[in-house]
Amino acid sequence: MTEPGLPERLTALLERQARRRRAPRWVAETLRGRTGDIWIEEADDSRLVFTNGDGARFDIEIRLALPTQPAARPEPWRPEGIDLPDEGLWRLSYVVVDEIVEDAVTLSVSAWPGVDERGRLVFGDELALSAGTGARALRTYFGRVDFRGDIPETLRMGYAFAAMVRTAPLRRDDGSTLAPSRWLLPPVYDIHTRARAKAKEAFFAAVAPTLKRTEAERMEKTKPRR
Amino acid sequence: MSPQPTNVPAVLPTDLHEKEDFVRGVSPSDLVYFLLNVGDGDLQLFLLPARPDGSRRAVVVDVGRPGKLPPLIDELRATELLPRIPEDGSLFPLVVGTHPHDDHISGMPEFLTTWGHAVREYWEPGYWHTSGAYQKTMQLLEDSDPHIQLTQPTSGTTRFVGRLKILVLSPAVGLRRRFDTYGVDLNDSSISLRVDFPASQVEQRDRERRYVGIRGKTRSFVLGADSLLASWAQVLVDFPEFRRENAPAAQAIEEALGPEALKAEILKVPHHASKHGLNLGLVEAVDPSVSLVSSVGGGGKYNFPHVVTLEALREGLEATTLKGTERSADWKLGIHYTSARDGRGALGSIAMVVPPTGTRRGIWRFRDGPADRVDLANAWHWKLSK
Repeated sequence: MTEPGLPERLTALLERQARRRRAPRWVAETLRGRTGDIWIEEADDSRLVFTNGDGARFDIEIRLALPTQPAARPEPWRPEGIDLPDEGLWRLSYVVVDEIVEDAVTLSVSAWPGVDERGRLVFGDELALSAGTGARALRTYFGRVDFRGDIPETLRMGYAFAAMVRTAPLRRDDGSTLAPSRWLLPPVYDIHTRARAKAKEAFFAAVAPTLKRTEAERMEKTKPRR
Repeated sequence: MSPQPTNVPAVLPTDLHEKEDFVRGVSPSDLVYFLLNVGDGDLQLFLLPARPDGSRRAVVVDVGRPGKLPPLIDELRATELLPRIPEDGSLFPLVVGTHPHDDHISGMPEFLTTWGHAVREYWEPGYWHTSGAYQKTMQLLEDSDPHIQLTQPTSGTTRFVGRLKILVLSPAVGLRRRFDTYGVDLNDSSISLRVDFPASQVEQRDRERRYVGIRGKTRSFVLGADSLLASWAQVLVDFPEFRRENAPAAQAIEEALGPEALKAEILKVPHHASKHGLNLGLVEAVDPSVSLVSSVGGGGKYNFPHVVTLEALREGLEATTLKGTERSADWKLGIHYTSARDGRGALGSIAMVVPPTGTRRGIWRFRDGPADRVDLANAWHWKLSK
C-alpha cells in the first residue's frame, strides 16, 4: 500500500478539524471534493474563501513555516575570572539563585550560554533545570570547596555562579531538596557581577535603541549638569 | 474534635463535577479565564468576549511553563472559541510577566517565539534578573517586529482592553523606586492586578447614548502574582477601604471611583499561598467568593500552600469567632486548588466562564497534570457553579 501524498494528508487534516468543530455537512462535502454550487476565491496568499448558494462561507488558512537555518555554534561566554579553553567553558553550567523562601533556595541551572554577534548571552532551547537546596548548605559548600571569588555573606535572588553539574539528580525533579555536593562539582566560579551586568544590558536594550560607539563616548565625556 | 489543619487539599467527592461540553458552555459575550495547572507556578489567560466580527482577543498573565499555552491556543483555535485571528494582528493586546521568576516566565520565550508577532504590549516590573528565561524574554522583546511596547506599570496604572478594565494594584511607586535588584525582594516587585468585567458603561441606541451606572455590579478578579506582605501593605495604603458608616463622603467617593478597590469576587491567591503571601486583613478586604490556589498542593520545594495561609484564608471566608463553630470544607468556602483531586484523579487546570450580566459563573476543570496539555474535550463542570 502506498503512503498518502501531500494533498490527501492536507485533506485529512481539514476533515478532522471539520469534525471537531461540528462543521455543517456542505463544508465536509466540499472538503471531500464535492464543490457543486460552491464559489472558491483566493482572498490573499494564505486564505481560500468558500461561499455556497445561500451566501454562507468558510475559510481555509494555510501557514507555511520555512525551515530555519541551523545556527552556527556561537562563541562561549567568557566572563572575567574564568580562564578555561572553549571546551572547558561549554562543560560549565550557568546557575542562578531564582527563589528564596526562608532557608529554601531554588537554583535555575542552564547550559553554559554562548554570545551572539551583538554581545548578548545566548541560552539554548532546553528548559533550565531546577535545583532545590538550603541557603546555609550552599554557603557551607562554597566554603568547603575550591570557590573562585568572594563567598556571599547573604545569598540573594539573582546571585549567579558557574560550575560543572551532575544533571541526572536534577532531572528527577520531585520537589525534594538536594545537598549541593550531590550535583555541584568544584571549582565554583562567582560570576554574579558579570551576570548582573548582562541582565541589565538585556533589559535596557529591550526598552530603548542601543547607542552607537561615538554617541556613548560623547555622553560619557559630558560632565553632569549641576 | 476538628482534624489538624493540613496543606494537602482534601480529595473531593466525585459527584461534584460532571463531564460536559465546554465549548457549548461558552457564549460569545462571555469572558473566559484560565488558570492552568503548572505545579508551583502561574499561567493565566483571559479570552475576551467576541467582537462583532466573531474574533476574540486574549490577555496573558504569566507563562510559568513551556509546552502548555501554545497548545491551548491551538485547541481554542480548533473550536468556535477562537475561530479567527483578528485581522489587525492584535490577538494579544497585552501580555504580563508579573515578575521574572522561572515559575512565572520560563514559558514566556516559547510563547513570544510562537505568538510575539500578535502581541502589542508587554508589562513587566522592571526588575532585571540574571536567569536565562529573563534574558531570552528581553532579547525577544528587543527583536520583536512589529515592536512590542514594553511598559513598567505601578499601582494605579489602568488599561482598558475590550470590555476589560485592568488596574495595577502593585508594585507601588515606593517599591518600584527601590528595585535595583538587591533593594527589594523579587517577589515584591510582582505586578498584581484587579480585572473588572465588563468595563462598558455606555448604552448606544441608534443616535443616542447614555451612561449606565453599573459600578459595583461588575465581576472582579484580584490576581495576586507573587506579591508578599511588604507589597500588600502598600496596596492597602493606596487602595483604602471606605467604611459605609462614613456615609455621604463614602458614597460620594464610591460614586466617583467605584466600589472598594480590593473587593473582588475571584481571588488568585498570591505566591501559591506561601506563608508571607497573604494575611487575614487582605482576605477580609478582598472578600472573595472564589479563591484559586496555584501550587503543587503539599510538598514541593517550599511546602506550598502553607497551613498558616490556608487557615487565614479559611478564617477570612468563614469567621469562627463563636465557640463551637465548625470549619466548612474548602470546596464549600469556594477554595479551588489546581492540585485538587477527586475520586477520578487530578482535577487540574481551572477555567471560569463569566457572563457579562449578573447570571452565575461557570467553573470547569480539565484533569491535566502540570506537564500535560489541556484537552478541552475532557472538561468537567463544577455542579455548584451551574
